[in-house]
Amino acid sequence: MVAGIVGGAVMTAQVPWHLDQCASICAMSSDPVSWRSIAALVVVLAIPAALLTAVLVWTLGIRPAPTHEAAVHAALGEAAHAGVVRAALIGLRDGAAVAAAAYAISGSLHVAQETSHGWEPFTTFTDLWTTRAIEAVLLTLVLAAAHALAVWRPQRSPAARLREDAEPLPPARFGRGARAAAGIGAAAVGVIVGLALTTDQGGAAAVVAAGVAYAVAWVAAIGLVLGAVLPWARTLAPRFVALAAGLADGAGAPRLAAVLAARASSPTRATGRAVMAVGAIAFTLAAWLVVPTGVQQSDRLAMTLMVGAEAPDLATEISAIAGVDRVVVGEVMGRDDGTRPVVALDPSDLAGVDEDLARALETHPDAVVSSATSMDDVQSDAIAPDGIVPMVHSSESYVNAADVDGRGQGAAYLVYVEAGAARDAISMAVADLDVGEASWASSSFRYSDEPGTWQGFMPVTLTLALLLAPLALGAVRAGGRDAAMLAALGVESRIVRHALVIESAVVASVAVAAGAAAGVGTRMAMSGLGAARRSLGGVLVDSYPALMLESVPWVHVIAWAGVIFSVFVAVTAVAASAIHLDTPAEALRDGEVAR
Amino acid sequence: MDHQGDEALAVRARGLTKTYGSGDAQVRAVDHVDLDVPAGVLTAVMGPSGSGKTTLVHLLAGLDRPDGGQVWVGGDEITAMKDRALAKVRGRIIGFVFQGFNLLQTMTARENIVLPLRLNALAPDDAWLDALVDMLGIGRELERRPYEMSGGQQQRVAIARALITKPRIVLADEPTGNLDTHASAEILAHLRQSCRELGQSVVMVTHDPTAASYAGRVLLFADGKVAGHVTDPTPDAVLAGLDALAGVER
Repeated sequence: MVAGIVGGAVMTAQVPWHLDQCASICAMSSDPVSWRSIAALVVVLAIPAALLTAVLVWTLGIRPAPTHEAAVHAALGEAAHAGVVRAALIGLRDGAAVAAAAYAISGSLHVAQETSHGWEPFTTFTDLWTTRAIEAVLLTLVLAAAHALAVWRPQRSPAARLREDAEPLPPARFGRGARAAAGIGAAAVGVIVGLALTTDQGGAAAVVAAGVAYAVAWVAAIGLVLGAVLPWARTLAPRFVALAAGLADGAGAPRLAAVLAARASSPTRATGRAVMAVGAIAFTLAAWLVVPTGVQQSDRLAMTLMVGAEAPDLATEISAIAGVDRVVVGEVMGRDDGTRPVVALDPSDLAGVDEDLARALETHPDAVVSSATSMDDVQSDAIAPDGIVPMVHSSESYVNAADVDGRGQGAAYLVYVEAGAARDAISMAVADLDVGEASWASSSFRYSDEPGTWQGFMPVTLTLALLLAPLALGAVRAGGRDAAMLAALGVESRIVRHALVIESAVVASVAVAAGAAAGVGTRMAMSGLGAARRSLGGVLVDSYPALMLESVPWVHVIAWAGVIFSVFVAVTAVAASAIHLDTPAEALRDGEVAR
Repeated sequence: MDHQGDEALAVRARGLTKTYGSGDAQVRAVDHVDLDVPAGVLTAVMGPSGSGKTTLVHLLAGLDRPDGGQVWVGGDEITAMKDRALAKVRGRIIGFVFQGFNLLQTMTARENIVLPLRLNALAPDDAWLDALVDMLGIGRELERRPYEMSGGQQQRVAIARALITKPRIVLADEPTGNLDTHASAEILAHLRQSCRELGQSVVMVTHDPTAASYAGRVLLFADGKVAGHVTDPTPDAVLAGLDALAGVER
């Protein structure tokens, strides 16, 4: 189910939801699918596929059959390899089913999106059908591998497997795998930092080496979190449940305290799995959410119009259009020699309309403000910058006019509009002007929200609910027998249910806190390393600590952590209310079935 | 029907009915049972597998809700009780020994035994705990967890847990099923002694005629109904009663 949701989410995310924004390029023919492109896609997807496999096996504890059923098979003489093969076949069968379902759903959405926007079916982004098919095959293989690994890995005796869910959690250890991940990660960090410190602007080899080290550092960080941080949090959770018991006792609720204390001493593997999974989700979100660091142009910049030569009175004509606040005129540099257009501006012209860009140009008068990551993309005969000030959400590059030596290739008109102005109308009005030949315009836009933060809030929340619901239900179900036992020993069902919810809240809090903290730490570290890596291409960094802090969307991380926590606790509350605690005998019978 | 003041009875049931499943799969585990369990008496319930014995004791203990009928514990009708009052009965008046022990797996034996005291905010009684531990012979198992113990040892811990609150009524589902003869005899003798000297009432489901012979009264149960009684039972008398139930000539 989890794999199906993940696969479905990935495929659905690729549906061209923006058909109304992409006009004719939607139907542009893509390169024909080749074995090389398929191989490249498989390589790209290999890491997420490996991560999904690891999460399914080690975090969610996927099992091809209930533990006791596997144990019975083994006890009845089923050979180990036969069990692995049987598990792999089950995985293939289940994987094919969920992958086909995900493919069909995402494909249907794709067609529905096309027809609802006036396109014929199968005429836009046609390469996505192949991409999704490859993803479906990978998803099937992931499930097969996960099932086989789950059976092959434990190598436990039948008796051990029978009681494995009831055993207490082993103490957290900084094991061999975690030590290896830490060592590899440290080496990767050393490579990047060493290259950044010793190389001013690295050659191709240094850039490639830093890129590889950066990818390795990501994998090592993920391994360290999954192999050390979250297992540590898993063993820490019961202490906080015990703390909650103490607080309940202090608050005059001795029975609730006793139940919580009993629960605290019974951290089952199901609870441990919940900590691992919730923590992994929180980690993923916190590490994924990122605020691009760099200069951001004013959101009042509506468009940039570039012409082959400065047209007399054009700025005045544009300024006369209703809604236009100011037109800043700059000089276009370097377009004829194949480099990106770089616009030379006088920072003082930007005062009051684009302070961030003006400040960057004044602070770094010899550098280019650009989203480019290589000096090769911005330097030309006309300009020889000493570095790149990183910029986000802009396709143009800017340089302080005082740093320009050569002659320009034309003029650029940066059109800033008043707040709330009708941008489309202004663009059309500009298009109606006589701007001469060899002109081009780019619609400047700025995302109203940071990418990866509030975008897709509802789909992500729904996905989280689908991921967390079985976990919460599983944890309650695994503890349901003990809960029924406590009710049979004389505890009011209301108190047992409260205790289950409080325990769930404490466990979720610990998991979310550990996962989110690890995610934020990883994000900050990787942002710093990314900046160090980009410095090899000439990208300047004013302050690494400031960049690392700014790269984290703190409000969004906290909000998403709250969403994860709330969903998990809400599902637990619903599940707890469904246990037959007023008839413990019935709940105990259910527990027998569930074991 | 007023049963207030009927102090000679520990548990009384009238028209007790419990059905599982529906349609063709419907099974009436307990079928309109009228039952009086006298106070201060060890009562054994015997019958074939699937006759509804376990369901009966679950209903008598308030661990399950009947589909029909009433149960009184002392003078209080537990079938009409709300959750809070029923929980109080389960925690303070009744001790229950489950067939499957139902010990909390990651608690030690000691923690399992004293758990009812903590859950019901009762003061710990170390002397009584020591006495139970001695009687049941689980001194060496106190710091072990259930999965580290044998079935017999777990059963002793479950018995100790049921007795730790000194309940007026003990309901036990096969309490000696995993014990050797000597241990069984010791525990059954203790239960009988508790009934005689402390006025405790014990209802015990068992398949063992020898265990049943420790009882003051044996209730024969078949097809969800009370099929007969054996008073002053001996193993032979119990066996004869069971054979009569099964229609076996001896």
